[in-house]
Amino acid sequence: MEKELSERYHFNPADFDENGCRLTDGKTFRDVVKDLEHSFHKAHTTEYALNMYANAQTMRLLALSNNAEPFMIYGMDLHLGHVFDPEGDPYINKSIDEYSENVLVYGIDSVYMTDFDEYGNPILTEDSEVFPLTLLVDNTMRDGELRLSTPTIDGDESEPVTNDVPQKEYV
Amino acid sequence: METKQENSEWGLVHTPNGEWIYDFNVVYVPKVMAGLAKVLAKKQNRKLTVHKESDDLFWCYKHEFEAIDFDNFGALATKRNNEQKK
Repeated sequence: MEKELSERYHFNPADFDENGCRLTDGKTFRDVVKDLEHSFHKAHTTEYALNMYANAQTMRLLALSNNAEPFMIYGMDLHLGHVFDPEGDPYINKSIDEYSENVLVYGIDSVYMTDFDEYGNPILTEDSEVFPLTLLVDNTMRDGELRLSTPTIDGDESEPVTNDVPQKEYV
Repeated sequence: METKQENSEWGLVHTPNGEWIYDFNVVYVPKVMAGLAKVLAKKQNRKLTVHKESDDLFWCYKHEFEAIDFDNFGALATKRNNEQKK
């Protein structure tokens, strides 16, 4: 089981329309998530968010705001607890995905992905610190809540870290 | 520097929308087949989105590709030829 460094963020779902755009300024929820990735990196300057946890409703909002195809389902279900298991969870979700009528979206581009090839595909190397943002569905989370996290480095002896900061209200 | 094609060993496909999906949800086709599929999809009033993977390789969502009736392609070509001869 992964040990993670994480931040929780809050937003009001009622602020967004049926297309996932904020009513006040038209900003998409997808772009809101990008802003939160920036906030995460600002709070943890040596880290980039690798995992995004939210409930199915929030994932649906993200899909709508990203103009996803109607047959796409955003986010892997967590089957082995409330923290992403990078070996077990993808294996289980992949097994389900193969026989599903829908297409499971395992991740989305990180806001920090800036190198793309001529066909629009991001260029990833072993030395990259930036990887796709893995989408994880945790239905114990409330509407209007999402969590960004990154695994801790060499977490064998470190304790699971969740920053006990006041819940941040997204303005 | 690792390329997208080298990344394919992970089994994930990157959509133009910035989504990462497993490759068993797509079919890879050469350019000619992609063009044929688009024509047939339009004739059959079926949705088909074709994405470019490289100069000679394209991919489509598997369920959209499999919904296209390729069996009638021969009949369509024959019908058109006969109409042109009249």
